[in-house]
Amino acid sequence: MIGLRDFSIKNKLVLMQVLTCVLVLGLCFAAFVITDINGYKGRKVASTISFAQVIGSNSISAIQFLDNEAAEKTLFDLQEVETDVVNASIVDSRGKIFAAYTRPNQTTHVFKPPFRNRHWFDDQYLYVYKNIVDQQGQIFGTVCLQVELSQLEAIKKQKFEIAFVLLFVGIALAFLIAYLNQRYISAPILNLVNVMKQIRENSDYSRHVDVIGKDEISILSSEFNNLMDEVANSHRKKDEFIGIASHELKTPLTSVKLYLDALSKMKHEPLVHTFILKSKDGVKKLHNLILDLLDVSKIESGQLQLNHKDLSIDDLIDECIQDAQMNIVNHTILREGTKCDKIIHGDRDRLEQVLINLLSNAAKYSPNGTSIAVKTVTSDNDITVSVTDSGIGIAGSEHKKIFGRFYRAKDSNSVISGFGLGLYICSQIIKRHKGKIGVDSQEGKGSTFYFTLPLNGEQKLS
Amino acid sequence: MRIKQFIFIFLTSILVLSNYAFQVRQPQGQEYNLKAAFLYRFLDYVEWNNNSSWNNTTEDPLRIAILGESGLYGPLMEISRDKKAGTRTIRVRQINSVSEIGSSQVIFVSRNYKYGIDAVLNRMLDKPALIISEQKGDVEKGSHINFLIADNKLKFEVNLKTAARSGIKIGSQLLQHATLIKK
Repeated sequence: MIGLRDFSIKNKLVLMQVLTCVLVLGLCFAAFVITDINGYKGRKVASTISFAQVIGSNSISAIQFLDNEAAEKTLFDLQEVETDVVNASIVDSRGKIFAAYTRPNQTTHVFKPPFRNRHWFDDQYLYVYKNIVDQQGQIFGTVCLQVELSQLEAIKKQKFEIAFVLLFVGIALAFLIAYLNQRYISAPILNLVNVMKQIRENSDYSRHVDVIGKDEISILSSEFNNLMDEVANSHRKKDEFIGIASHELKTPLTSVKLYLDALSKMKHEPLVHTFILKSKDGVKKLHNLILDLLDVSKIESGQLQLNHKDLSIDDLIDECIQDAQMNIVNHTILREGTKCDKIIHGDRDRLEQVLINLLSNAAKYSPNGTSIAVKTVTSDNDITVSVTDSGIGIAGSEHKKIFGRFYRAKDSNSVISGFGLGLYICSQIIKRHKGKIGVDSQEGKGSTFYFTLPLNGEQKLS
Repeated sequence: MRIKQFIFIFLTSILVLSNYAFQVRQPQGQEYNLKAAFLYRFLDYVEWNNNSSWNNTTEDPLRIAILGESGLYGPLMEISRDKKAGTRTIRVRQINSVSEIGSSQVIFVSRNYKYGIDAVLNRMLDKPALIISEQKGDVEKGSHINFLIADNKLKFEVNLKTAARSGIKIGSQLLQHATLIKK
């Protein structure tokens, strides 16, 4: 069952207005119909009583002289005036029927005592008893009438029809007005939601919601804008800090690296040499991490410069495999499929950085001794480069997150180090090449990372 | 209280039933009861000539004379005790001769009156008195209203011509119940 909570505010607003309208109109129409029906009944009673009065005064002499025929003629003649009469009787003062009339093809009704002035309704008929009284106030008998409420059904039907049509029109109008009105409330909310979504997806905290008017939603929007300003501010501060910190760290580290390089070229005892090499290794890792941080800082501040040139994809892949294989000793990197022989326009160093990153990730997350395959697939407009490993794989729910900043695989053990910035930098580089980056993977069944770049020089400098 | 009510209802029903039985066994009495009631009601629909001293609105009692022995006397006396004709009290007399009629406004000629309607008509010619009879053929002779029994019912005939000659107007509501109207 759908609860009220599952309705959108828009639908709730419309529903609320329509329900209010139905309720108010319903009550009005009920009052209108009831008043009308009661009015009809009242008029009918009044007219029937006067009718009975006329019959009564016309029958006094007939009762006095025991002239049943004259009384019956009176009944018969007068029913032509009041066609709704089904049964009519004149009862004498002792309660005996003196004259009776039944409309043709109708069942005879036997009027029951007490014969005093009264009237009542049943489902179909109105019953009226009216005493026949002369000028001296003597009661001669009673006129009893059973009158069909022929128009009641027609009146009911007509009133219900009018009420129904008006109710329908009312609901339609209410719906229309509610639908037009709700836009003033739900549209700004939906707009706010849209902006939030975009901010979440693009991490673009500088986006603002348009604030129109001074209602609660405007206050909410403007508070949201303020909040986003705060968030953007703190992000900027953080990025500035990362930029400054990594820059400040890089400078002394570069000199350390240079000195270590120089030291390693000198003659040393084997143990010292080993220590120097270990130090160099450590410094290299540190240097790479700082370079990553610097890249992120550049990307965030929009200062990542690309140096676009024409380059051969095959050459790029071959060189990367060669370079990577030097560092990756426990895995075999294979170029699978045919060479594509395509030239693209891009920043060679950055694309190399992407491919090397993908290759080293593949090595990092797959068991030793397995192979890593690099493959290209070309289509009319673009070329896709994929790197496939037979490693631990990535759960489907994580696919989108892994290209975010500081993302670390959940099961990552302490052996696998890094800031979790590699794929983020890769995705930003590919994005700036107007390409796409993605992953196909299942947990435990290896992963295929791929990126697609546009061909034929359609790509422009970004 | 309950017992009293019960006794009252019981006695009333016995009275009603015995009255009914009495009427059944005594058709004669039933006939004159009805005739008395009819006669009394005729008074409502009959107008005496305006210029006569017998006008309906005077304070004088309305006098009814019953000519000859008749079962009408009893019931009519009873009515005259309780009721009035308009504002006038009713006085009923039993007479045996036309000479006793005097200034009676209504004369009922019993079928037991041996000289019949003719004697009355001769005497009352053009005088403003309502003449009511109960013998077949009397209305043709000149009686204003004549009782008759047809289909086991009490009915009456009217002679408008002689009534008009006597200065008596008979209302149309009365006429509509008459079996014969002579004009």
